[in-house]
Amino acid sequence: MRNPYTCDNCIYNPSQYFDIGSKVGYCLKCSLLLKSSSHTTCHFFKRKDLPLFLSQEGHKEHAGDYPESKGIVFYYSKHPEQEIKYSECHAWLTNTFDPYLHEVAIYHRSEKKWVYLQAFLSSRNPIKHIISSSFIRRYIQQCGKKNDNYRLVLSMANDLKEKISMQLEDFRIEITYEEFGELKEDYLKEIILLKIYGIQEYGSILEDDKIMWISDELNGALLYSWKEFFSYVQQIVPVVQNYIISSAKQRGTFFPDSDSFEEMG
Amino acid sequence: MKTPYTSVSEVQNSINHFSGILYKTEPNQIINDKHKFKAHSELMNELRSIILTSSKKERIYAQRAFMLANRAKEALIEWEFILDTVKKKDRIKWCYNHIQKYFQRV
Repeated sequence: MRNPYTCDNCIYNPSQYFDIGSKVGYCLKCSLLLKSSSHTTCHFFKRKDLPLFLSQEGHKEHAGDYPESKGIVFYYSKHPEQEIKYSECHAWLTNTFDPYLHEVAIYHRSEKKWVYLQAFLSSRNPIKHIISSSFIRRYIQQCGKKNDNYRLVLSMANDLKEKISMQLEDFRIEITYEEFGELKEDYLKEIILLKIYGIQEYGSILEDDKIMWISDELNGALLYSWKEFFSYVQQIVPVVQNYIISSAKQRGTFFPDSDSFEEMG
Repeated sequence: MKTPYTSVSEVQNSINHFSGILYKTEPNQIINDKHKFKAHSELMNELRSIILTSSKKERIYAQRAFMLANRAKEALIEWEFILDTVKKKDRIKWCYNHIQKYFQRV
């Protein structure tokens, strides 16, 4: 069993998710590299593998066990992790440059995060899927009700239709081909779930029950093979998008100046 | 989260990433002492049933438990200790002392 309360399952560490992702993580909250992310944690930890509105109680208890002042620490010993900043220069000089880690660091420094997110969506690469869902989930939480991010969420829903191509190299731990066969389907499903959680979190912010519980549209399809599960997911995408569009229309936020936009097109 | 459960695995490889010391346990000893031991297959069947019959929050929790348990080949011990006479502040230490005897270093 994986410890779900370590940095490799934290929303602030976008390029890793348990066994897959970049070899080294990057914490957007602490602006530090995460070299032992399967064994470290901190006060601000927010798990990726559940919608935020269902993990608040656990987060509260966890935060109580790990004081803010201690920073990133090892989960069991609570010894502090070494603080290492990201340096592109160092990465090139030491032949450790990782494009995923670099994308996360660039995003962190980016002023126009919304533009970056829109450009980043849609990919067949599983790690990019994980990064984009983490970015968007964090972004819409930070915006709260202040900004209606229906366009980002619509794109994320559309992304559910994308085929994902997973390779052995996408795993950040050493596994055999036999283990890869077993884990591949599992992680393909996980990538879909991460996006669905993001859509549900958006529904939770808006207090829209239909969007908040779109997970029920899958009706337990998670138990089927990847092929069958993916087929179910593709079928629910238009339904989910319809919920999001109807909800935005009701609020009057859906392309309010659409006439001028069409003229431009 | 603090619960009355202890997770164990049927397959050593699935928990190697903890990189600590491995311990083994004997389900019969646990059952004989009136605690509950849920084997991996039993746990998975129970979670499958919840996923198919429940909705909303309960279903999402069950799905998460299913994914984690599947990867870890997890089995579950539910401790049936009577803690009425143990002060709340002493419970963790009390449980540690009473649970440790069921685990031997590999």
